[in-house]
Parts: sequence; C-alpha cells; structure tokens
Amino acid sequence: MTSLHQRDVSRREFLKRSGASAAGLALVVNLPAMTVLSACDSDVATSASLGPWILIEPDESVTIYLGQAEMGQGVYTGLPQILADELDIAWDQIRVKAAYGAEEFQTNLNGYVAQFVGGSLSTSKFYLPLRQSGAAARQMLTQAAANRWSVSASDCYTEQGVVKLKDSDNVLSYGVLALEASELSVPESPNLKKKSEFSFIGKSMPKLDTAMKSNGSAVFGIDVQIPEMLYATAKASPVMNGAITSYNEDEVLALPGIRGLVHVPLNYNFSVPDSVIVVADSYWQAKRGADALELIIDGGYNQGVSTESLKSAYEEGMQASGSVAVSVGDAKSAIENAEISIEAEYDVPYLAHAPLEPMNATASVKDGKAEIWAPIQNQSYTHYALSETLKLDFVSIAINTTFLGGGFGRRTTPEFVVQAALASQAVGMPVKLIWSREEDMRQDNYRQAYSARLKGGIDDKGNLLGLDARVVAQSLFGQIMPDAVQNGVDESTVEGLSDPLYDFENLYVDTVNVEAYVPLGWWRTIGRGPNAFFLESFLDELAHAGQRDPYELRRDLMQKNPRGLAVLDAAASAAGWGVKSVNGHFQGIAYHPYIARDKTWTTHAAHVVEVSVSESGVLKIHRIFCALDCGTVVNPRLVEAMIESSVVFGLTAALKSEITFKDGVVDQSNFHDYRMLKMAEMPEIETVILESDEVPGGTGEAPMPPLAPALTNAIFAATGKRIRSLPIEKHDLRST
Amino acid sequence: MAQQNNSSINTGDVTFTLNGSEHTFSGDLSTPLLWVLREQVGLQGTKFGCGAGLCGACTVHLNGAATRSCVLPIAAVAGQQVISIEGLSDNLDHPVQKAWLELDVPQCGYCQSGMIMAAAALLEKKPDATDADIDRNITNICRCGTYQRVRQAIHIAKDADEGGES
Repeated sequence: MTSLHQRDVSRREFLKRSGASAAGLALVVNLPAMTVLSACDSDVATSASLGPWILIEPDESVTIYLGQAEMGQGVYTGLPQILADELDIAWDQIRVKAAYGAEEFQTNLNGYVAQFVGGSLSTSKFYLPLRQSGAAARQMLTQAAANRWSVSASDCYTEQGVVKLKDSDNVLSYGVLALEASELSVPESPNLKKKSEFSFIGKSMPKLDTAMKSNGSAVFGIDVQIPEMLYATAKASPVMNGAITSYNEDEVLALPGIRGLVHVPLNYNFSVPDSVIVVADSYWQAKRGADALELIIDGGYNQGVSTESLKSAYEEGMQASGSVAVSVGDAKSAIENAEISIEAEYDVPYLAHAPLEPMNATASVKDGKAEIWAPIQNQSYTHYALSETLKLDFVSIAINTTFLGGGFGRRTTPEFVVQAALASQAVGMPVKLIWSREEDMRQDNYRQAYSARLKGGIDDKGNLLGLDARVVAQSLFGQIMPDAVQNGVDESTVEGLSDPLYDFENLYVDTVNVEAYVPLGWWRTIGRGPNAFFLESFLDELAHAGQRDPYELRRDLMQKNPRGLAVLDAAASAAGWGVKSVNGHFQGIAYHPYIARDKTWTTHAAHVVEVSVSESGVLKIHRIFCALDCGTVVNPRLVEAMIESSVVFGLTAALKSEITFKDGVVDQSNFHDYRMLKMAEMPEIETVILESDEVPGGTGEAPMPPLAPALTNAIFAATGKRIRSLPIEKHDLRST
Repeated sequence: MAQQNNSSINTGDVTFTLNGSEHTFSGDLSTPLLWVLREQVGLQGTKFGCGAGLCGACTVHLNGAATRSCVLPIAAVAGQQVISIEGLSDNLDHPVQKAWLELDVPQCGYCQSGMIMAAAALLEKKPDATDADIDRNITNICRCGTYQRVRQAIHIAKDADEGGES
C-alpha cells in the first residue's frame, strides 16, 4: 500500500502545481462562493470529494460532513455511522466536520425547506440519503479500481476502506482511488446493503465526540477564539418585548475596558429583543458594564403581565367558544348518556429551556463581509436573518456551526447571532457575545402554559364511551408562523389529544387561543408533553372511576395499534405491573405515540414509574421502566441515552419547573429559582428498546410525554391524591 | 444600581500555578478564576453555566479540592495550585476519563468538564465512594440528563483504581 501511495504522489503534485481545485474534482457541490464548507486542512488537490458528504484523504481518513447540529442527541455519531456502513470503511477512519450550504443538507418539513435540526427528524430525514451517498461512493471507488485493473466491477469487492480483486492479491485503498473515483459518474440508484450485511447500523458503535468532551477540547460556541476579538454581553429590556427609550451611555462607557455600547433594535421577525450590547476587552468587564446599565423602559403591551393576569386569560379561554380540532362520532351525547361521567381540569405552566451553555455567538463583520461561529439549530434561518439585519448579500456571509451545549429548541432563533453581528459591525472588530445566565433565563422564547378540561363517559364495565377535550393555550404557531393556524386551530396546541392512536369511537377536541404575548418558542415535545399529561392522567381517572386496571383499560383501547401495544406491554412487563404494592412502592403507567410533524414516522413510548410517598409527604421515585419502539435502530446506545435524557428533562419539568411573571418581567433568573433535577434525586432507569424494521423514527423527544402522567398516576396510586397541575413540588403530598 | 468608578475596582498582579506551570494575572482582582482561565490563559475546557456557583460547569481543583471557579476571585488564588480539565491527564488516561469513554457518558458535553473534575476530586478524597457519597458530592447540573451514566462511570473508575489515585 505504501508503494502505491508513493506512485500517486507525482500525480497529486502535478494537480497541485497545475492549480486544479477541489471544485473540479467534486461531483455535486452547489455552494455560494463564500460559504464555508469547513474547509479541509489539507491541500485541496490531494483530497477528493465524493459528493457533498464525503472527503477522502490520501492518509485514508474519511471526512463525513455533518449538516445537522450536534446538541447532545448524537447525530455526530449516528449520521456518519449510517454513511460509513454503506461506504464500507473502518470506524477509526471517520472524521466528522460540521458543514453548511449544500442542498443535500437541507430538510423539507411540510414545505419548509432549510438546513436545521429539530423535531427529532435528523435520522428519519437523512437515513436513506446517507445510505445512498455511501453506497454510491463505494460503487464509484470499486469502478475506479476495476478501471485500473482493466476488469469489470463485478470482479471486485470492498472491505473496510480498500477494494480487492477476487482470486487475486490486488488491493487498492480508497485514499489512492478517491481522485479517479470522483471523476466517474454518480450511480443514480446504488445497491444498498441488506440488513444482514450491516457492519455498523444497529450496533452501539462508540461515540465519536466522547473523547473531546472528556478532556475539555470540544469547541462549543462559547469557546470560539478569533484573533483580536472583543467580548460582549447583552442586556435586553427586562419587560418582554419592551422598548429601551434611553440609558446611561456615558457612565457605562467610562468604565474600564469598555469598547462600545451598541443598541440593537427590536426585531420580531428574528426574535431580537430591544437590547444594548456592551462590548469590552473581557467578559468580566462587559458584565460590569451591563450591571451598571440603567435602562429606561417603555414596557408596552406586556407591561402589566403577571402570573395572575395570564391565569385569568387562560380561565377566560376555557369559557370561550372554541375552534374544533377533531370531531369523531358524537362524544357529547355519548358522555351525556353514559352510566358514569367524570370531568377534570388540568394545567401546566410556562417553562424555560435553560440549556447549560448560555446563548452566545461570535461574529466578525468587516468590509462588507461577515463570518459567524455559533451554536445554532437553524443555519438557513440564521443566514437569512444576518442578510436582512446586516444588509449584506447571502454570498458575503459565512456560517460556522459549533457544538451546542444543549438545544431543546432554544437555538432555532437567531437573535443572539444578530446581536453579535450588529455589535461587530458597529465596532469594526470581531465580537464574542455571551449572555449571562440571568439574561438567558429572562430572554427566552418560552414554552407556553397549557390548560385543559376533559370530560369522559364510561359504561358499567368501565369501557370508554366518549371523550371530550378542550385545550387552551397561547398560540405558538400564531406567533411564529400564523399561516399554519387553520380555522382557529393551532396544531401544536392540540397534538397528542387530536391524534391519539387509541380506538376512540367518540372523540371531540376543541381549542381556544389565548390572547397573550409572552414570547414563545419550540420546546422539547412542543404540544405532546402537555397533552399527553392531560390525556394519560384522565385515562387513569377514568380507569379508577370504572374500577379498571389502568394498564388493562389501555390495552383494550390499543387493539388496532400493535406497535403501541407491544411497547405498553414491554413497559408493564419490565416493571412487573400488577402487584398491588411492594414495600410501600406504587406504580403508574402511561403511553404516548410521537407522530412526526409530517406524519412520516411514529415513535411509541410507554413508561411505568414506581414511587413511594412517606406520611410526611416526601416523594421518592425509585425506578422508571421505559419501553420504546423507534423503528429501525441505528445505534442502541444513542437511543438509550435519549431515553435517559428525556426522563431527566421530563422529571425536572414535572417536579420543579415553573416560569412566573410580575410587571411584564420573568421572576426567575438562575438555577436557584429555576431548579434542575440533580444526581441525588435520580431514580434508576431501565430501558427496553423494541426491535423493528420500520422507518427510523426520532428519539430525542418521544420518550418524554408519557413521563409526567406516569409519575402523577403513581402518586395517585400511592396517596389517593390526584395531581392535575404541574409542577408537583408545589403540592402537599402529606397523608391527611 | 450604585455608580461604579475606576477607583472602586482593585487591580493588581496575582501569580498562581495552573496545571503545573506558573501564571501571572494582571488586572481586576475580582475577576473570577473561570474568566482568567478562559480569557487570559486561553483554556476553554472550564465552562460558564451560571456565574453563581450553582451548576458546577466551572469546577476545577484548587489545592486538590473541587472548587467552582466562577465565584472564586483571582485574588484568592494567589500562590495556590489549580488543576483544570486540561491538566487532569496528558492523554485522556485518568481513570475517570477512561470510564467516561467506556460508557460514552457525555451527551451535549457542556457540563462534562465540571462533572469529571468533581468525580475525580471525589475519588481522590474517597477511593471507596458509595452511592450516598456520589449523591452528596456530585451536585453538578446536567441538563441533558447523563446522571445515570455518570454514576455508573464513577463506580467503574473506582473499581479500576482500587489502590487510590496516582
């Protein structure tokens, strides 16, 4: 192999000196001139692009480009894993680089086309394209070898990064073949591996970013270092969407290290609050400056907003006339004529995202060009926002995505990038902008509160006859994509109740959009978390009203939903469901199908939560049994991690989290009053991942929705107390 | 907000040892060690999560003890020994890091430097750490929820290194 490398050096040297560029050798790269393809470090003439995903180097390393931002969900490993399997290389040949620009990196979600990460759709969207790219490249490499040996491709085969000739010692490595391969035509429908041929897919391959996340070398947005950069922090109007009418500019400018104050105007389109960016020689100096800033605010329409005023608005919504989301059969009559009917009201509060890495971005804007480095979830939207706010052409703006210290939907909006870019443009230097935790907590795009009233009727055997639900919430779509609100119905308000996979003969769901203007954003599970809490709690109440086992009642309603049923059974079985109580431990159960927003996949999840509650009302969560069917599993370890993640995120919200308001300002400011679940409160989590050949579904959110209701159902079993309003920790669980 | 002026900020020089080498900081003596590490020294591994000592992302070892550097003014570090995540090992071969690799503990990874430093300090102090010790000493926030794996990894590191840290 070494001698073959040397033989090819002269050709590569020729290409280098003749100025041949990677663009001439690449296959399908349609990039605006300035877009950074995270340019490879080596001389472009000596490496070869095999499509927008793959760059093969002479040293046999294979760079797989990653369009989906890595925010802990594991795409950094999972997506390359898919491509590398079809390409047929060794695991240690893989290098991963974030990239932006090629059309192939974009996702089409119900007509919205962009490069972005969210909705748990990375694996489902890129599974086939990555397999096809890997397989196509492998075919081209094989053909290149066949050409060299003057044989037919069918006489050749690949084996972990080399092409071999049958019944011969002939071997050529991908590194040697890549240049020639890249000049061949791309097969339209390459042969894909059979499941039995997978070398990586389906296996818990080791994660590619663990090492760098274990020695401090992984670069998050906040870690970016650009020569001569200044540091900045932001202070926006504390009143949500309020206006800054004046501030003590001279006083702050006089502080040591302050290099400038940049007033960034409110921009609804890009979620940019009216804010002052304090630019300084260091973050500490910038923070001093921000602390010394006295903003005079015109609060505007949110001035009087308080937890109480929002509660009133929601209560009004509950009484108003609603828009119908679903009407199947005749639920109202069924309930009216039922032997037993019950009614219950539920509510969940406003929530913050609070990722551990606060909002930040680094920007260098100068001479009509801009480059940004940031932890972002929507590259395309960020690009557009910068073009509009900097008033620069698309081609003059380069976007670099770093690791994200948590996303959860928070980093889909570009406001912090716009702030950094405008600050850089104003001061004429590169600027790294970092929000304080207080700023991050109070300038979030929140998950809105949801309220619901459910009514149900059962017969004398406890069978469900009809279900009527009203969901009331501020409208997320009404704020961020109003065209998506159809006939008064915001799908994200009712999802989880409007699309159940239970066999409901009579179902009626209507909704009211609350007129309130707390800034909202995508928050992990969107409407499914709240609605699963409502539905799964109410099913539990119906089960008890009809003296039915909650597990058995659900089983009856899932006879036409075999995947869901299998998941429910798996959770119940793992938990040993059915034993009344062991050692004062009680169990609760819940199920939820996470249906993709474009309906192309469904991931089924069920939990059994086991708790005990002491006489003095101390809750202890002992064990959580989670069963999941996410279709084809690319990497079981990544899926387990997403289950564990969803459980912790869900428990935090269910137990502790609530955002409250006073005079238009969010009360909470840091982790002392927006508390997180910690190690000491962790239950044991047992996961069961069901085997499936269905299309790969998302796992980043799906395990979350059944968590809260399974927990409150367990608390009911333990105490007889029905919790209908989260968070749990505001309730007194003492035995009366 | 009280008006600040230059004279209310104390400046000076502070010399301390970081990962075995001497560093001198010149400037505002109230600057937290976290920012000195990240900006003056240029080491990005120690993270900023809250600025209030609540999350632990900024955990370093100060004379061997797990310490939250975001609330530690540089003046208090004069003459002290600091180890940051970069100095924990030369080659990812600290037992805690090896356990982290074995279980693929990190998800987003942002809290993990602090988590690893807290775990390493715990095992240095208590080579036979129990689950109760872990509960009491590992109070770092992980928003992604890696706690279960963190606990398992600490047990693996503990068992791999029966005789105590080198």
